[in-house]
Amino acid sequence: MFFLIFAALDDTSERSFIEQLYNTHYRAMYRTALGILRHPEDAEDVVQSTCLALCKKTSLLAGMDCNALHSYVVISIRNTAINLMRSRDRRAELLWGEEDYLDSLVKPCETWEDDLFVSADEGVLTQAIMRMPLRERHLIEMKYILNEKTQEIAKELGIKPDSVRVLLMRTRRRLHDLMEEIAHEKED
Amino acid sequence: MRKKIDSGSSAFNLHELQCQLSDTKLKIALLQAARLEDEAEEQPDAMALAEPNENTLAAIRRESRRMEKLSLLHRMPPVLRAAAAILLISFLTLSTAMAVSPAVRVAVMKLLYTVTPQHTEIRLVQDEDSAVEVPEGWQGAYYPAYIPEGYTFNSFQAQNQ
Repeated sequence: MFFLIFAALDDTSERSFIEQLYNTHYRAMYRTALGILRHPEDAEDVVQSTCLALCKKTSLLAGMDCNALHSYVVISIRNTAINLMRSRDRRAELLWGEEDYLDSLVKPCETWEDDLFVSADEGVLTQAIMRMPLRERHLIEMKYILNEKTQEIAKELGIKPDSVRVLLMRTRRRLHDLMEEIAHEKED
Repeated sequence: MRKKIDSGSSAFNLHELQCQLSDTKLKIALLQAARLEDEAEEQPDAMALAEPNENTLAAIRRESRRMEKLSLLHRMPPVLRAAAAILLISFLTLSTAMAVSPAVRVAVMKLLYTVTPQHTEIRLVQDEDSAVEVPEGWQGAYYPAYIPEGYTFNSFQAQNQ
């Protein structure tokens, strides 16, 4: 009886939130998926599977403002689409090879620079991100926007968790170098 | 990965704050980049007519209902869950002990029965609402305060103590 009363009093706004999100952002989601997959049915499948995954994050999404929510949804769609491409072994440029991180076994330990972007100009940082190769951008989006744990990232990429740390470190460094390039271009 | 450095400040760890600032700037830039690229995307004519898929909407509704049912269990306060677990464990433990151990059975019975050399007493709960009617002509010093339903008072025998 207690659960029935509880269910009756339950707010149904969460139930319709994902539906509203889907109806509002459908075109952006489909466009993003289609841009990567180039296949309408696959794009529709990616949109559906992403929305179903977002059902588990309703409380997180409900707290976002509309701009951040839109970006988060687009990044989630892109993540799902890239994982689908990777699972079908398409577009080799999305794959991380062992050559990308095995040399870390013989090189002196690279240090993780925590405060790499403390003094970064936001506009320059945004431009640098837009110039990054897709696979590197996908990696930092998984880490910083989708908040995936190292184990989850390792499983998706098919590599070891320690290798994820190395790749993240190098991607962050690469991003910092891109920022400096853009800053030099602006000075010229 | 990050080492806490005591900056000497009692309220803030400056290095930790700088790391958080660095990560926050990166997150903001990632979100902005996604938004800018999406706005810049040329929208093909076909996209203008694209409508949400009914199958996807139905799948979303099913999944939302399933998540709702799961969340009901998670909404139970932890204290209630702990209390329910303790009760269940206690019940199972006592039942098993009574079934297995004669000593436990005796101990439980002692709660209900009072055994004396002369008799075994079983105490019944008195009904506070019932009035005691002492029959007329009763000459004894005491009269039972409670007689269970279906029983009648027959006689009594006083013993000198």
